[in-house]
Amino acid sequence: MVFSFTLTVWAQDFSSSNFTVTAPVLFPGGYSTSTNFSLTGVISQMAIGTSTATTFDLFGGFLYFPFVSTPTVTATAGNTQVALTWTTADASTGWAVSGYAVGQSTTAGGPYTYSDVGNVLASTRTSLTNGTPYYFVIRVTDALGFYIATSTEVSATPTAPAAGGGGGSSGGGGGGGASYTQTGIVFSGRAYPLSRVSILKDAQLAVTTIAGPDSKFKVNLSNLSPGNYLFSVYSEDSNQIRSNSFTFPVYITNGVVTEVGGIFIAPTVALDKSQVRKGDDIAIFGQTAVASDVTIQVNSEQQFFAQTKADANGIYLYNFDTTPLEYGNHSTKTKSAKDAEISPYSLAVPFVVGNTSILVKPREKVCDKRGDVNTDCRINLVDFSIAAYWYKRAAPPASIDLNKDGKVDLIDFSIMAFNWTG
Amino acid sequence: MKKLIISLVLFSLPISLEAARLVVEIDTGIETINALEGMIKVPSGVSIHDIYTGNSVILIWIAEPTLNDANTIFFAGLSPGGFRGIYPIFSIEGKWGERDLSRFSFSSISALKNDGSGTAVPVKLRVKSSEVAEDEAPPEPFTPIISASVDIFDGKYFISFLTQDKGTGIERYEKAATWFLKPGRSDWIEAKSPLVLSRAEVFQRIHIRAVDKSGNYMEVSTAAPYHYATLLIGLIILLCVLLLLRRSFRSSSQ
Repeated sequence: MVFSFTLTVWAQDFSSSNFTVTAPVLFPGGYSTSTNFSLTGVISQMAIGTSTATTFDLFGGFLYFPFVSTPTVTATAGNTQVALTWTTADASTGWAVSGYAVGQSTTAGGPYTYSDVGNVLASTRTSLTNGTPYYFVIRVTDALGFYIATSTEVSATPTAPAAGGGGGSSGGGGGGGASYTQTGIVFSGRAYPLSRVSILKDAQLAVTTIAGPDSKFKVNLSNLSPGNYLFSVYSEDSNQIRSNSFTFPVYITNGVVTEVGGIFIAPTVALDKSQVRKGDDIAIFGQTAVASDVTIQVNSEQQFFAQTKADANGIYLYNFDTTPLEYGNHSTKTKSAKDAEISPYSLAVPFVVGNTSILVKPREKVCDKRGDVNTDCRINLVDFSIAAYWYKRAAPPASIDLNKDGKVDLIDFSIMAFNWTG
Repeated sequence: MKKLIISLVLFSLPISLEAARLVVEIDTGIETINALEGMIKVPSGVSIHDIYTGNSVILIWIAEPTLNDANTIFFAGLSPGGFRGIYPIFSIEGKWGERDLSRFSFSSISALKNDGSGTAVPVKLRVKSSEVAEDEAPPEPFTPIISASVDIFDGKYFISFLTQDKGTGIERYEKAATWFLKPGRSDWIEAKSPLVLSRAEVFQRIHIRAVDKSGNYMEVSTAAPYHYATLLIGLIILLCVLLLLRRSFRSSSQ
């Protein structure tokens, strides 16, 4: 017997100054369809959000901006194998990551053969042919097993170990006689057009490069010892506003060049007002990859979303109508999407809704981040040295006591580490 | 204060009292943290030979793990940018038996989230057996930085330096200051960052050597603030002397 029903819903209209959604009826993407029934309609609250219990997750409301970032993938070739690692795909606003699948091909661009690997961040592909280039992507699956994001492609060519190899390392004065020429790492991804991209290796600035007019960058590092590294990548926009750092671990293998692909630096974000009169617009702007789709999220008691497009210089601007916002503190952050790649969210920038508007003062200095103790526009070893001198000492200078609790302790160092530029 | 969840997991333990190595690991779960501190109480009867920080997820030590008189190892450090997952913090080499190991305990663990506010989050720490690996690689290349600040050392110039070692970890740093030549063996003295430069050293070239626990070392150098000016003045004086000598030679030959 085939059982079928349709639920008709008379819904509330949603409108703003530039759009109206009339009598919205939700079609939950086929998730509620089987061979013997289909369910069309609203089955939950209208406000976006996730209701959770010990036995179920309910993603209710308009899921028009579910979010998942695409993973950054690292490929390290070995003997008849390639070791893959990837960063966590961060999901929110209606999506939850439940696992990953590795797509493998010997042809650039696919088609790929996918293997589910579970909710892990590493997989080694074995029984490969030495000398043959292999191409990999990582797919992200949601709680229902649907693919919700796919990484950019990375490649690696398995290689047989050289006879008598092993090598080792040399360096400044110690060590043996072999060279590092085959040991290194290549980074590629998107930043902002013609922006400076900085790569930190274990918290110290290792290399900088300039992104192309298409926002893409590619840079390599050599002379590395085998071992675990933490790499961080950040960029600065045309107003010298820094992005948040994107940090990921990589194990460097001796004699192998590791490829890290799909880095998508989060947009920068700034506001024209620190306080906005309720009902007035607040300008939300910044820079991201050329011609990318920018999603703006305003965090309030209820979350609001808007979309705009970056121009040929990667600049975006959106005038947000604050009429629906309550009086009080709010914040906004943005993410970017381009060619199926999705960046992480930017840093959140706070603002206040009040009875008057206060314009943001033009920044006298761009180096205004907490932790820049010696005000040289960098947060690095020098700032750490100064702070370490005052660690657990009485009466530290106010510029070093970053959380203003009268002492320099681990919290101050954590704030410094968050803003670290190397 | 948030309650920290700490667990001590011991497995693959040596049966007899033999030299062995343990690694102290952190599992951050879903949280990305950038700062960590805590203490490990070493039970009586256990002898600790050495502590290794090589390959640690902690990149900058505020307090390197050191065994104190109270048989406690205190440690505190940072990883700018943060990390999430399971990583080694440091390893311990010593002699212990199974009963002793069950009495290792963690206390005062503080792990702070990479959120710009230093929010405390729960993490799990554990100890597991580890292999003793050979270390033939020197420490990583690094760049010392010379600077001055009104906040420390009465505004005097100081040099900051830091590097990592992927094998056994950094044993010590050494410093030498020279005018022109490379430092000799006797010029090196042990040093800790940050280090105040003497009046003479601000005119010299400062050499820093990072030595790992296996004796491999990485040597780098940087010019102190007035080094190049000193070289230039020295060169000008030398040229003047040469010109004077030339003139006197000419006048005497005429």
